[in-house]
Amino acid sequence: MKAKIGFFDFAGCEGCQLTVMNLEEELLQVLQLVEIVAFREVMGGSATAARLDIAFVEGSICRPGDRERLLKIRRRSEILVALGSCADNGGVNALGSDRTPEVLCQQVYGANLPHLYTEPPQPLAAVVTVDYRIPGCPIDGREFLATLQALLLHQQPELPSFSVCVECKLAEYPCSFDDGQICLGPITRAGCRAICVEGGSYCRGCRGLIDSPRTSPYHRILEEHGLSVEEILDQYRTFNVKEQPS
Amino acid sequence: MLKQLMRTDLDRLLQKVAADYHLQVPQLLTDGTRQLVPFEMGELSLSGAPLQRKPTAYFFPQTETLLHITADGSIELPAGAARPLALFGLDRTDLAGIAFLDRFFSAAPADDVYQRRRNGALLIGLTGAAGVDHSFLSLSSGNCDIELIADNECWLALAYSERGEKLLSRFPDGDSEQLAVLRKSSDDSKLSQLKLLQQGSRLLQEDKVPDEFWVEIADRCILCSGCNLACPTCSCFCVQDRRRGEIVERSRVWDSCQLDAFMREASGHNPLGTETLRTRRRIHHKLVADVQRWGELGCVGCGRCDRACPTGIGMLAVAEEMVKRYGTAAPVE
Repeated sequence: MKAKIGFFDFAGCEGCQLTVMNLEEELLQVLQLVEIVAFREVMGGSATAARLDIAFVEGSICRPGDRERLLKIRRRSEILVALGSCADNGGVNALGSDRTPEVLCQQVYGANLPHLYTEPPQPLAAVVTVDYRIPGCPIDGREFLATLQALLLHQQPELPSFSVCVECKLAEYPCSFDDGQICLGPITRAGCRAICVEGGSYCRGCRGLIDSPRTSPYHRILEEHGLSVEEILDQYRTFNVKEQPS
Repeated sequence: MLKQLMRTDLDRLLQKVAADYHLQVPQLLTDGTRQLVPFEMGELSLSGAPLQRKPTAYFFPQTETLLHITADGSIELPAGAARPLALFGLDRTDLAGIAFLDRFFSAAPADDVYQRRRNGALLIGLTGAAGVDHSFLSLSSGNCDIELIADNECWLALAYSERGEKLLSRFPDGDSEQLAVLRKSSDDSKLSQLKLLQQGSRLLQEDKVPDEFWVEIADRCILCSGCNLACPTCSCFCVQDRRRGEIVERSRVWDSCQLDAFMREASGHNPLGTETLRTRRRIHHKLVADVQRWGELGCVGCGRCDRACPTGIGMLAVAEEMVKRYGTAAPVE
């Protein structure tokens, strides 16, 4: 029997679901192995299956009713996977977490609009147990396929334990620090093949921290290049918010 | 065999090589680096900074398919290249790096995957006035088929193999006295980098470097593994199997002894479980273990790890630090 999988979205740009959709050819092969019972971006109707083998959940939790809906998804899913940075770390949605909804609304819309108020955006793990994560903004399609493949084979999906720096060095891209530019590569989990650095930019940490970030030498690099911890934290907060108790 | 080549002769030689080999030549790229690129893809760079990428990667690439297992269980090896490789523009350290890997991968059990790429390949060194602003690069120790030694507007050409001799046979003879002068200015014992490494090696072998030193150096490591990835003599790899449809593909990928998972065992025990142990091992392996196994340093002094390291703890920097702190030998020139 084919495994039943579903895609669910909370607050986010839906870019991670779009990445899955863009797999196109591979997705057709995947359909030989799984039955997709929910994927709003692709198909109509509502999820009817009582039980799901795997739920891929995108977005952060911040709107009224989000928690309850997520808890329901968790209850009917054997495995729950956080899909993308918003689900994994809060993502860019969490940028506004350092101010009240009133201030945020005023700054963005120039008016006080209470119906747009949200709670501070939270990663899924703040509400439910997350079994596996596919980090990134957006996710890497190949990493999604590798995770799905591992789960279908009843294996543990593995994320790289090393930092983006390693992928940068492998590709021999010039070091962002040499240009006096902030970079979160030394502490951010690899798997993106340093795509932002390849494109001439720098790592903003969308894939979250590695397990044991080397903070001491990182601080030293910052000092040597005249950069401050506060500047790094400003960048870090773009994609990463601290979990708050549910 | 000693020959002398003018620029037109050099072009003729390269044309001749390109007829039978997949020739790679140095070129200055727009990002300012010198890299090996396919012949006749642009202007040759006959002097300048060291090649950015280690040439050993041509024979031991970052990722490499080892074999395929088909649905019926039979094993297929990847098809070999249509023509053997020829690399031109290698300096003494590049050639020493290739020679090091040749010896490593041919030691029992011989690595047939490496040898499939390496066998039949032609190496052409480029030394003499071929450095930055035509600065002098030390002559090789003959780890190549042909060595071209740049001097003024010409190149003295030495053949070290039958294939090299054949390729050079129709060119005019060179001046042996000119070669002797060049050799004199290329005395390896005067190379400060090698001297530094040898001093560092001796200090380690005499156990004069305390553990605190490694704690301090390790505390500067950011775990980017750039030192390993840039090193022409690093040979560690891991093997992975991937299923593509009905076919299983087995490949190998460079590994790094600086990563926590490098030696971690299935039980969770890790013989190299701290950054201090891993850093010590990186230096110790090149300066002590390789010396004991092969009789020579495992570092050829190319400086790539020092250029790659964002925190300044490449091999030469660490050796310099060791010698400065614990060395009693004469200061390095």
